[in-house]
Amino acid sequence: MKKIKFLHFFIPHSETHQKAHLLSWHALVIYMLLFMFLRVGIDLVDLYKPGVLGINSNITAEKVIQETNLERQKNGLTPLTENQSLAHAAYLKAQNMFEENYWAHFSPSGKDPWKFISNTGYKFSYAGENLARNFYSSSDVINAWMASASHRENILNPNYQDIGIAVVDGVLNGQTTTLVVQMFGKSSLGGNKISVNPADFTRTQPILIAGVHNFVADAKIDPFAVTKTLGTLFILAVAMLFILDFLILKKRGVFRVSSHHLAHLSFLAVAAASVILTHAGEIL
Amino acid sequence: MMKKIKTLNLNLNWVLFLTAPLFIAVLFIFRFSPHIEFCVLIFTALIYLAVAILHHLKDKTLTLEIIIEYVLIATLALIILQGLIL
Repeated sequence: MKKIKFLHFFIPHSETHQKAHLLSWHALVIYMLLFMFLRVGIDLVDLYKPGVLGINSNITAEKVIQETNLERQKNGLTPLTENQSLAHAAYLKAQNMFEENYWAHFSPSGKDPWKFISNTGYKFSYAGENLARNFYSSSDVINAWMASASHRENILNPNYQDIGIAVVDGVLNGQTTTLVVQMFGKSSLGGNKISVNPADFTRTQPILIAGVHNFVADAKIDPFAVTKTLGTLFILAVAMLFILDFLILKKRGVFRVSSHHLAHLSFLAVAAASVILTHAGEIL
Repeated sequence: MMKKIKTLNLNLNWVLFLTAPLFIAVLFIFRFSPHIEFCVLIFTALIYLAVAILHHLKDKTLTLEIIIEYVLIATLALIILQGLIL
């Protein structure tokens, strides 16, 4: 008897043919609350334990430059030359984003991208900036930029001759984040104007965050991966229960006035696809 | 007349099933734009609810419990996706 009761969590009731308990509206409310608590929990950890959550990536400036030039060559353009001044400007921009805690081309204090480039002594006739954060790999970053018309335009702009990349780890909005700043330029004077020590802007250098003053360590938990895995599993589990419900009712040969299985399964397929296809990274 | 209504019912039942690949294709195109993905899922959820309500109205099987079930499933999917847009 107990075994049958336990089975009713997964299959329709053997006498009343009611839906499995795990498909009841009570259970659906519990699932919703679980995901709401998960989101609130992530926000609370971000607030009180900054740096614990985040994404650990393996992006390198060299690989980003290599893939950028590969895309340019595919489109019949000349490859860009790595420029130390632009790389330093990109590093200063990333550092400023962590210090002022913002995710934008313009800082809250009014600094624009061109200011960072000019401050390094690079005189430009053309300049551009692409930003990315929370990507796992260099290829993901380039794929995301190439999928966006404005970022793609920057990468494939024939006016640019130089490129500078900074890949910097820090804590942004409470989460360990890897920022990728890509600066493009065409020098109006033809070359580097200042000498910059590359050791000043390697990603291994810890960044001090205003108001927090934590050294950047690897994030312990990836909230994106946790939410994505749980979300996918829940959607698939609910879909499986609906399939089971449909098959058992069909086998029993009973008709039950209830919601439509096909509609649920179609919507859950779209929902699962949206969760699976979502990327952690953001571009700007 | 009866034949026409039956045909319409059949179409409603299959509307989401047949359009789901289209929505998935749109999601794939905008896979690097989480906010657009979220809008696509909201749109899908609205169609899902509209089709479901129309279907049950025609079947004369529309009850509060059935509506709640559709609304909860749509909301659950949206909450899960919203949690991924950090």
